[in-house]
Amino acid sequence: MATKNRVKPKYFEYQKKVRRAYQKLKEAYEEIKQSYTEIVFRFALMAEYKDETTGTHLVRIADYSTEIAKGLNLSEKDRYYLRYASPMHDIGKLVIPDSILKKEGGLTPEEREIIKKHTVLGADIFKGTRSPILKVARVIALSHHERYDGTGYPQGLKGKQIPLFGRIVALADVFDALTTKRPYKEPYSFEDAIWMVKQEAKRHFDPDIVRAFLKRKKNIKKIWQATKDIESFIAEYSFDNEENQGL
Amino acid sequence: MQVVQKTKNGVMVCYLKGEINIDTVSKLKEIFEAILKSKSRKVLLNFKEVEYIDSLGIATLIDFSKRLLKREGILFLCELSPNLRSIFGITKVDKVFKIYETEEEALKEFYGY
Repeated sequence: MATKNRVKPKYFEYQKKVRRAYQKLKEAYEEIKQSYTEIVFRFALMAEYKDETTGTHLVRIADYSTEIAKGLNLSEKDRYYLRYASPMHDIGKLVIPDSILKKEGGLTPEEREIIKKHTVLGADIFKGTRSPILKVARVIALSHHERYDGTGYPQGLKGKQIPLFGRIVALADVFDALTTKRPYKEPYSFEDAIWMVKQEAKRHFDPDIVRAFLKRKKNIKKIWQATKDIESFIAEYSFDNEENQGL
Repeated sequence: MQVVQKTKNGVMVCYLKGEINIDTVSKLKEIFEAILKSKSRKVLLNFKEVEYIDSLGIATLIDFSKRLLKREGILFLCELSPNLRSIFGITKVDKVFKIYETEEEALKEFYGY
């Protein structure tokens, strides 16, 4: 009995210490994880600056890709990788000269070939990584311009030879390009863009990915609408806009 | 996603936890609706434990801030987690909201209103 009484307080003290240590470890892990994913987004933004598209494009790519992944019943882990890796799809553009990337008017065939290299260059940036997110980012950077019918680049892969994550981001990226304003074009309406995606099944896109995308159409529309609301609000209320003081 | 609400010096402080995304945003909408129906006009959202926010989450914040503004209310944000900082930064959302490093700092700012 006496022994039991001596052991008990020690045991509880030990248990408390372990719990405290575990909590600290958990907090440290969370902080590292958050800093890591923060860097991922900021890194992705560098490439977007070069291309003069907006940061909201990155969040949308993540959102659309995640919805397609849900339509395909991919695991939570895969959706997590896709969310953080997909915004880095154009990271290779960092190494493409501005004189070509921002050139107004038509490109020469040679210049077009250089731009196409952003896929291989993006993959090179992540070569040899041990991080699961960056491994997925490497696959996406390399394969998001491949086309289901084999006419894409850089490898001209066909059908299911194209990695799944690449096939998903290909659709998300094109759909976003269709529905947003670019310096050279006005946006297509939501329904027109959906129609165009359907037309490209078996050509540009994997029909299974198109099916998964259409299965999530309701949510895709919500994301599309949300982005429009965000952009118009920012244009109206931004502190950068001299006519107002923000909210 | 979890939300804990506390009133501090007449300011409704909402502590948000988890992910604000297309699947969880309805809970946040419900809370915002309740706040708009209540008398609270000074609202502070604490994002310390929010891991991620997607387009729907951002649009919901914007909609709430617009409606609160119409009712002459004020919305401040504070203690953004690293992820939120980067997402608000790249989407330029940080240019439209008043964001404070600490809750204390934000609460002090409310005294002027």
